[in-house]
Amino acid sequence: MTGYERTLAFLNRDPVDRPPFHPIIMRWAARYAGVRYRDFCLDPEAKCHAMMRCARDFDLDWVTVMSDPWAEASAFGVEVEYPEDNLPVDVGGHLPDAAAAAGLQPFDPLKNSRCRNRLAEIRNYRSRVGGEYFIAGWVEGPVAEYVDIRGASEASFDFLMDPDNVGKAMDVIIESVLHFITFQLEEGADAIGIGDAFCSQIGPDLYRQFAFERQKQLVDHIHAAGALAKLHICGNTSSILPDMIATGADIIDIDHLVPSMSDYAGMLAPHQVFSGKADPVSVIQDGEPKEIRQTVARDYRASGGRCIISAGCEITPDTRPENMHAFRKAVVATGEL
Amino acid sequence: MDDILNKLTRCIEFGKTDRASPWPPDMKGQDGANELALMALEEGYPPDRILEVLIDGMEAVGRKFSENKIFVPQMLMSAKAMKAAMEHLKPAFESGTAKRKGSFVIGTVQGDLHDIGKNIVAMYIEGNGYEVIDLGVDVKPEQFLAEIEKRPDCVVGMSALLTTTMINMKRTVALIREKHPEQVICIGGAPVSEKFCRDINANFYSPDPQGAVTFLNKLAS
Repeated sequence: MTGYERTLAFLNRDPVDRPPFHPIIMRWAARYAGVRYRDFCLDPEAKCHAMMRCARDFDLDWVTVMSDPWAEASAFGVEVEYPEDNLPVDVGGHLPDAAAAAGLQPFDPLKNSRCRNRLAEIRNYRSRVGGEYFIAGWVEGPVAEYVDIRGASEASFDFLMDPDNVGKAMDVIIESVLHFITFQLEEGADAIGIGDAFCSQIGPDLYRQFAFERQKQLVDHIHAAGALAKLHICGNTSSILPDMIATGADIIDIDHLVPSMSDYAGMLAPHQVFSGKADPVSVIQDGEPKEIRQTVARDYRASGGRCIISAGCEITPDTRPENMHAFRKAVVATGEL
Repeated sequence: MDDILNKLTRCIEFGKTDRASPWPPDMKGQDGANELALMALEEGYPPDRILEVLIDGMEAVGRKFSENKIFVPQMLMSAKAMKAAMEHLKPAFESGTAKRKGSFVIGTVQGDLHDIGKNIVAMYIEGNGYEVIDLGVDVKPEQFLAEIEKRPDCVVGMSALLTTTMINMKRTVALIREKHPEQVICIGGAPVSEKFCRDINANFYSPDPQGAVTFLNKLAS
C-alpha cells in the first residue's frame, strides 16, 4: 500500500496493513535533510526535497507544505524576517488596533510570493509523488490568522472588547483563505490542513463565537471540492473538542495535553479520525523506544482504532533519527495489535 | 468587607478595567478598577488593605484559570484591571508606606520572542503583591545576572515556548548557578516539564501562574 492508499483506506474504514503515519515535521525535516530553515520556508524545491526524503527514510504516509504561519500574514502586510537557520519572525506591519482590523482587505494568493510558493510545493509533490504519498496543503484558521496579524495579547483583548470588528476582519480572512484553498486544491492537494492553534487558549465560548462557523465554512468548501479536511489545534483542546469534531473535518488533531481520546472517540462520525497524540518532547524526543511504543499503542486503543499516528504537535528538531525510527516501528507494531 | 473594596475585588475577578471599558458586558457603564482604587485611597483605606483585596480578586482569577473556567483573554483582562488599580498604589510602594511581598525578575529566554505566557505570569504575580521586573523577550543570561546583582533577594522566572530555546534556559540557569548557587529560579512554558526543571537544576516548575504564586507565597511566608 502506498501512503496515499493507506490514508484513504483508513479514513474509509477499509482494511489497512497499519495505521497511517502522519507526524508533523518542519524544523526536524529541514535539519535531517541538511536544509537551512530559511530555504525550507522560502524555496519550494528545498522544502519538497526535505519532506520527500523524510517520507522515504521513515515510511511516512504524507507530505505537507507546513513550515511556519507567516504566508497568509505576509499577504496581509505583516513584515517577516527569515533568519538563516531559525524560525521566521514577524517584525512589523501588524494591525494597530481593532478598528484597523475592520478595514482589512482580502489578499490575492497569486500576488504573494509565500502563497505562490505553497502552490508550487503542491505542484511539485503532485508531479513527483502524487498517488504515492497523501499530499496535504495548509491554511491558517480565522483565530490563528487574526492573532498573526494583530499580535496575541492585542487579539485577546480585541476578542472581548471589540468583537464586531474582530468578526469583520475574520470574514475577510475567510474570504481570502477560501481562495487560497481553491488554488491549493487545483494544484493537486489531497487534503487541506486548517491550523488554528490559538483556539486552545480562548475557551469554548469564544471558540463558538469566532471560530466554529468559520472553520466549518472552510471544511465545507474543502469537501465541496472533493478533498479532505484536517483541523489542527494544538494545546489542551478538551473544552472545544466536541465542537472541533462538529466542524465535520475528516482528521481532528489531538495534542498530548488532551488527557485521553477515549472520552471523545464516540463523537466521531464514520468518516472522521483523530491524529495524535504522543508528547513530542518527553516521549518522542526524550523517550526510550519502549516508551514510544507503549504510548502509541495506548493512544491508538483509546481512539478505538480511529487514530492516524502522529505526535501531538511538531516533531522537535532535536529528536534523534533513532527515535523517529522507533516511532515508525511503533506504528508498524500498532498495525499488529 | 466595605462596598467599595468588594466592588474592587469583583472588577479584578471579572476584568473590569475602567468605566469606559465595554468588558464585561454586565458591568457596562459601572466604575472599574481604575476608578475604584482611586476612590478607595481617597476614602482613606490604607494601600496595604487595597492591595489585599486586589490579591483576593487575582486569586479567584487564578483558580478559575487553573480549573479551565476562564481562558487567556479573560485572564489578560483581569491582569489589565489589576494594572490599572496598581498604578494608583505605586506612590505608596515607592514611599514605603505599603510593602510588596518580594521581587520577581522574569523574561523569555534568549532566542525566544514569545511573550504571551510570560506576560500572563508577570501580570498575575504582580497582581498578587510582588514587584515584577519584566526583562522582556530574548533575554540574555547576562541580563538576568545583572538584575540578580541589583536585587539579591529576588526570585527569577524564565519562560520558553520553543523546544529549540529550552536549551538556552539550561544555559542561563547554569550561568546563574556559577555565580549565585542559591538563586531561586522558576521555569515555565509549553514544552517545559517537571523533569526538565530537575534536569537543568532549576528550583520550581509550574504549568500555570497560580502554581508560581503559591510557590512564591511559600517562600515569602
